[in-house]
Amino acid sequence: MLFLLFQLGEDRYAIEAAKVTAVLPLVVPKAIPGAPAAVAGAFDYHGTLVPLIDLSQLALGRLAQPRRSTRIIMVGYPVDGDTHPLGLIAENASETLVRDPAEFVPSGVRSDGAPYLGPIVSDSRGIVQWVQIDQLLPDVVRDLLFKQPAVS
Amino acid sequence: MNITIRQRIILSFAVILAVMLLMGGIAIQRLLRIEADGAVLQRDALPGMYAADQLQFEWAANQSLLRAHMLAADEAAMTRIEEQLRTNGATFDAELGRYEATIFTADERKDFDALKRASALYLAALPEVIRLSRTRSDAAREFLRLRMDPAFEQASAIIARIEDSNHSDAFAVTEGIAKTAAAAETGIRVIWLTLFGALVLAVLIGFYLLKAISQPLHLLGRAVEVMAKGDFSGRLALARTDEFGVLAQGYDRMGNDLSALVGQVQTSGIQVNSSINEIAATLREQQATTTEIAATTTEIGATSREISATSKELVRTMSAVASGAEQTAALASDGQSGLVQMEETMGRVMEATASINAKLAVLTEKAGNISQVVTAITKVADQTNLLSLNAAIEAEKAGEYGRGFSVVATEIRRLADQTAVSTLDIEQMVREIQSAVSAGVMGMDKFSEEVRRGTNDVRRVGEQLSQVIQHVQAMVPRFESVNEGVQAQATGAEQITQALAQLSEAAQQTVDALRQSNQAVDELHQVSAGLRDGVSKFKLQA
Repeated sequence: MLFLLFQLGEDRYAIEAAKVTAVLPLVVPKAIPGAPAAVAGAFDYHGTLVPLIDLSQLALGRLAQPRRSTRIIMVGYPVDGDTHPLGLIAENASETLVRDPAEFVPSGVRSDGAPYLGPIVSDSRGIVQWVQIDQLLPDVVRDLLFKQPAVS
Repeated sequence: MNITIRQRIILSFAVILAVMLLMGGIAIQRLLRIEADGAVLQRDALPGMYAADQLQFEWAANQSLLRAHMLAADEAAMTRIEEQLRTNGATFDAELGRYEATIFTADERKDFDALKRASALYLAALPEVIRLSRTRSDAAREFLRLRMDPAFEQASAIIARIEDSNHSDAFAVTEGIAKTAAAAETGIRVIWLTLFGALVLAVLIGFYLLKAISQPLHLLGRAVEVMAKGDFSGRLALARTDEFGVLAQGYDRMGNDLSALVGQVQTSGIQVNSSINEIAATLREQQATTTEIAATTTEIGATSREISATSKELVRTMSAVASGAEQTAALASDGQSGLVQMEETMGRVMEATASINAKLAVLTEKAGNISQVVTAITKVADQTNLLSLNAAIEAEKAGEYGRGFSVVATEIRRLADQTAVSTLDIEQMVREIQSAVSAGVMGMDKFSEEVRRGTNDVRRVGEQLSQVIQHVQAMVPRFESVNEGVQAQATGAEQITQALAQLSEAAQQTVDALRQSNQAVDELHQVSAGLRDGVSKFKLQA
């Protein structure tokens, strides 16, 4: 199974390649005033306005560094059975990892603030933690981004 | 009691004198009475009795002689009797005179006058009798019997009366003397009694007088003894109004005065002592100061000698300097010509610098070109990486069919990564070159600026050198005057050295004098301490 790797700070994390739509170079997004800090804004993807989440801001509370290796990972975010396109700004998203999911073991630490952090696996460069995309967004952000049209 | 000692003494002696006067008066009275009785006995009674006895004897003898005359045998015997009769008559007269002296009373005078008349009558008839007797006639006896005998008897009776009277007088006197003697005995007893009484009185009075005098005297003596030991704290405070009261007041006042005096002396002694201490301290300070002055003077002398020596050396140095200055002037001229050459060289350096700068600018441009190429390569590598990632994801989604493509995609990504790393290295090098070049440009700019400044400096130095040459040439005559001045200074320094030697000697003498003063002050201090000790023996009232 193929995983796409990225970094939060100095630690490496992995997303299942099957859930990744595409990897895009970083663009300057349109800002969304009043949105939570983790929401970097929205950008045009093949004619569709896709919300953009800064993972560094979400997990570490700081903006992602504007580098060439900092890229947008396009994923499909499941909300109430539908799948909405979502852009994730991730640092150093330039490598892949092939691993059997059975090799991953539970981390043993469960954080209520970060329910998306999954089991871990080790390779020659250290520990990689599996990020569960489905539980990435806090309810407030998810409702703000994907349930607004239904309410209005 | 308000009696002074004087009054007490006078009173005591007056009492004793009064008793003695009384005693003496009694004794004198007694003695006077005895003396009066004795005088009566001596002047009246005994001589009267004796004279009366003589008168009787002579009278009787006269009659006997008359009778013998009548009976006489011869003429011679008659004549002799007549003679005796005349003597008898004279004696009788004399005895009458003697008796008259002892007459004191009127009775005696009357008897005496009667006797005188009777005897005169008898004696007047006596020659007639004698004449008749010579004739040996009876007429004579008749005459004797008729005329003479009555007269004789009358006178005899009177004499006998006188004798009786005198005898009774003598007896009375003797009796008076015996009474007087008895009275005198009583008087002596009285005198003894009064004497004893006076003695007892005198002893009693004397005892009280002694007590009155000796008690305060003892107190005074003890107080004076205490004071003699130096204790002025004692006071008598006798509540008496007599001389001892005055004396005690005087003693107390004297004690107060002495206390005050000794207190003043004590405080004065302490003040004197502290003053002496201060003087001693000041003297020691002065001594130390003077010693320092002496040392300093010696140091100054040494320094002055050094100055003198230095000055002499300076004179020699100055002549060397003068010759050196001349050489300097010559060298400066050489330097000036050298500087002109240096200025030309500087110009050439400036030109070379400008050409280096131009070449560096070319280098910077080339490096910029390389940087652009590298950036392009980097972009390509990045996009290749991105493509390979997407390809791998797509291949994963394709499952088994995409597996071979997945390997290719991974290989492509590896190459792209290597390219990226290499371009990173190149980019790094280019950046280093660029910074080196810009540093070089800046260094060259700075260098050319320095060269420009150096050129200006060289020009200025050249001007200064010409001024130096002028000054040095002008300096040579001044060196001469400096030389003379320094010589004068050397002489002056020697004089100062001599003067300082004298000063040092004087300071040493002062130190000696101060040391003597110090000794004197030490002695004074000892004397003062002695004074203080002596005075401190006196105990004052608290």
